[in-house]
Amino acid sequence: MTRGRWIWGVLAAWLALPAGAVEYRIDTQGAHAFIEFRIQHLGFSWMFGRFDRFKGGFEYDEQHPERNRVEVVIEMDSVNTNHTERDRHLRGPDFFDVKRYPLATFVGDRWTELGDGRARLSGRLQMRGITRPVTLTVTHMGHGRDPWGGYRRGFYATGTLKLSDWKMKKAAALGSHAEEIRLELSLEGIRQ
Amino acid sequence: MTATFHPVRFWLHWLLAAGLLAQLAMGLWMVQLEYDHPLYHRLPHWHRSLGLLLAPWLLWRWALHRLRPLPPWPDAPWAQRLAGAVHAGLRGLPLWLVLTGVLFSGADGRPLWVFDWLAVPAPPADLRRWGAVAGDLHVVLAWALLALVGLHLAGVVRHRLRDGPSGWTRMYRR
Repeated sequence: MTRGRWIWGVLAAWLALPAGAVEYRIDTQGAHAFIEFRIQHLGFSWMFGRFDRFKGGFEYDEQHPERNRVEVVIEMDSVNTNHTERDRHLRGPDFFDVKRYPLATFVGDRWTELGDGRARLSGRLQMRGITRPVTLTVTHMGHGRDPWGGYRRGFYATGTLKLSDWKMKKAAALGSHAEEIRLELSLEGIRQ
Repeated sequence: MTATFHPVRFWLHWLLAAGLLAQLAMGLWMVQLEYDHPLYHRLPHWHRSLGLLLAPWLLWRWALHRLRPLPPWPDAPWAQRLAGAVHAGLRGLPLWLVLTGVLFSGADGRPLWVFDWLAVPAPPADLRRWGAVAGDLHVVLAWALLALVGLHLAGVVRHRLRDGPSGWTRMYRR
């Protein structure tokens, strides 16, 4: 049931495509897409983690970049910080509560070109049933034919979230250095 | 019917009873500690260490039962069957708790430490993918063990009431 939900979300997003935009499916199958995050450990160092399973797509319109749109659905139980005990804690009710909220969804639909291959993408991230605005700084890395007959386009994006926006029970206990979490995404799409 | 147990059975029983109850208490407490509590890292470390230390004694007790089973205490057939099942659980569940604990805590391939003086190698790479499942199972098994301890104590009370002091002195008094 919950596994089926993202499929309909992504399908609905694609059906709503404006004409002229080109659809891309994010290449999670070939693992040419990464959602990484980092958060400070008490101000001493960065702790890195990632989500191993997610799906999504984007629309890219060269003539009308303001129509660009991204949708990504993340399976929250795929969190991986190279520490199984910590990951179990993160999946539990203290943080992500994946039993109740198995998915997080990002829909980015306000694209502002900044020139020089850079852009700002604003949208909404739904996580733990709470939706908050998020803005990513996007770098357009490249596009073109791949050696196997496909057409690809890829982006690198960064953004910052405030944990308190998502009301995770134990987030405040992580201390003042861990109020913010940095996101780092590398998303490569295959033209459909 | 033996008046008392052999000292090996007697001491194994109480060593493991103390060890397992300490593990249950630590396990249930440590996951509720606040992040800045002084024991936040120490208690899980002790829990992992003691769990590994208990493993050989658990195996010994399990093997002892396989090699030299004791006749059941005279009682109604249903009570003997129930006691047999509870005892089997009390011998077997802790071994599964050690196994799931090792799979969970060793799932990242780093060695498991017995306090700071013995590094036990992590489980083989093929088994590490079961780490997350083992972690969930570990908690379920712990509650099941606690329930069995409850039944075990109910059995003690039953024997005390039914058979008088001889109903518990064989494991209670040397």
